[in-house]
Amino acid sequence: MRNTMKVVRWEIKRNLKSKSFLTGLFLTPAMLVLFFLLSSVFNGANEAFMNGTVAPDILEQFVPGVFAGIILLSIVYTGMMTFQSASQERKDKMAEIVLSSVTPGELMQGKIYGYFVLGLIQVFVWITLAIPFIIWKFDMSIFTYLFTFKTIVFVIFALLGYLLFAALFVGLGATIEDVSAAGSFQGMVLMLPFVPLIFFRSVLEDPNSTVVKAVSYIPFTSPSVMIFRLTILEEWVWMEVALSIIILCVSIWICTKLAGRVFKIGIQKYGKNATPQEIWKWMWLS
Amino acid sequence: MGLILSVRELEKSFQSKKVLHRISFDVREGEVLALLGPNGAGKSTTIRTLMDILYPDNGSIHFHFHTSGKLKRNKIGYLPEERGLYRNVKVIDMLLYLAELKDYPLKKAKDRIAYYLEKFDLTGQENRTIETLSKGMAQKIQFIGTIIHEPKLLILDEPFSGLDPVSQELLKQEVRELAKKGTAIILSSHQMNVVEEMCDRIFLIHEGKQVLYGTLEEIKLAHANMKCIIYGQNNKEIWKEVRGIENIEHEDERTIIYIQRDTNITEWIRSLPEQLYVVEMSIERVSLHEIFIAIATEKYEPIEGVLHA
Repeated sequence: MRNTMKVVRWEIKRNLKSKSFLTGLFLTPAMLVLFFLLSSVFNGANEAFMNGTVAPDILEQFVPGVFAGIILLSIVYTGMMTFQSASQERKDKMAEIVLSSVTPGELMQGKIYGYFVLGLIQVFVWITLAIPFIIWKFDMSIFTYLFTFKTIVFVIFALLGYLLFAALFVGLGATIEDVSAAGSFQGMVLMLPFVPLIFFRSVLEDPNSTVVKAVSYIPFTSPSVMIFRLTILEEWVWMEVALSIIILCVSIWICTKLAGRVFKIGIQKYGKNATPQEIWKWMWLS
Repeated sequence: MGLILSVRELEKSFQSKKVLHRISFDVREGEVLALLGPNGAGKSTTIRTLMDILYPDNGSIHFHFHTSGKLKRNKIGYLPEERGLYRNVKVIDMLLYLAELKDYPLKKAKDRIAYYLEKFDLTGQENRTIETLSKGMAQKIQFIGTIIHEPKLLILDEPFSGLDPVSQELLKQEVRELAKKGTAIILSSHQMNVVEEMCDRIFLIHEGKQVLYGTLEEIKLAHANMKCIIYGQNNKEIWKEVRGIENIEHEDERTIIYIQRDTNITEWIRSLPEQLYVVEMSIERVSLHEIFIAIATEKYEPIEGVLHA
């Protein structure tokens, strides 16, 4: 654990000093605000929304969901950074040196938790920048809608989603040395967090349809589908929420374990990106 | 000199291929042990097994500097052959991270970094990012990172390759000094002149088997014959009368005579015919380089290595 914390601190420090991370941190919300303002100039249709005359009960429903959505987005983004980071370790040929001090497991955990903190920092900065803007624009007390029990459940889903994707991506990153030459397999896995977008229409049409219920239990779609679905649903079935969380937790455990094996072998290879067959083989070597 | 590391009967297979066959060796305090062998001999596998990156199938590895005998990562410095550093970080941050990973106190680490940067002629470079450094500079930084935490055992894989002669000399000096202060050093290299110059003892493996193990002198006495190199135009027939010759190579004006192992050299010199024309003559032992090549090309038979051409 001590060694894991060293890696965590290093990843945080290194990113907070890196220009590209800082640019993303401050530029992304600035861009969003800009687009928002531009669209409100060109689009008068949602005037009611623009003038802040939205019904409070809708706000109550959507604010926690939007909040969780931001977290999830940020977290998927930072989860992808673990991919980048593991691959960089190979590209910079540092793996062998770092592994002469820490175990592969510690290195991997350090990356997952390190980027977790970076993701939280990102969310914190985005929200802090966004809140004054929202208050100014809509003249509403966002906090009353934000600090609710619903928010906590959403945040749990978002965080579990992070742990799942971070484990997956960090393991995947260790199989790649040259990102630009990454195979279609790795590319496909990287697209996994966006798969739930396919189901958003179904959720809108009927949040309780069989398809939607099914994807609420599938670990790679459940975090975002559940956040979106629960935002729309007025009445929550707690059994479903609990079951989805349990499945997610078990999946995280399995995924971390398998990713650990892939990471351990992959991170020490030199030269070439691993094929899906190789990755499959590594997953079952204990 | 106290023992630092004992390896006994180490065995390792990858799938069905055996890469290490019961190899055993010791490393002592303050000595430089050369770990030698042709490419693919099992050197990296040995090192990686020592570092606990690979697990041996059989055999034992005992680190004497800790009562448990287990690997203490913060007492070991490892410079892998594949050189690397994080590209987009500052020199000082990189070195402090490597020290922190080894649990070395921050204050002492800073002092040592300053000391070594000055020693290696890198003062004032601490705030540059690694990617802006020249290859030689980066290599020196990496060397500093390897020894920053005062390791008891240092594993260096080709530490001098790719360096200019001045930097090479600087690092060699440092390695010698570290050994003098008691650091045990395992040095893996293909530059036999470096090995002859730096190493106290040699452990040579080929195809995962131990071939040679001992001090440089022991190995030379036991395995390397004398050779006599003569410059001067001579008739080949002249050598028919001289005894104790194992093999002769003629190259224009140069003749290399490999002398049989148990020949008394002074007597042999006296037995040279008077009409031999000598411009220049030298007698020396076959170099480690030649032994190495003989082993790598499998011309070498460890005990009765008598070759007649």
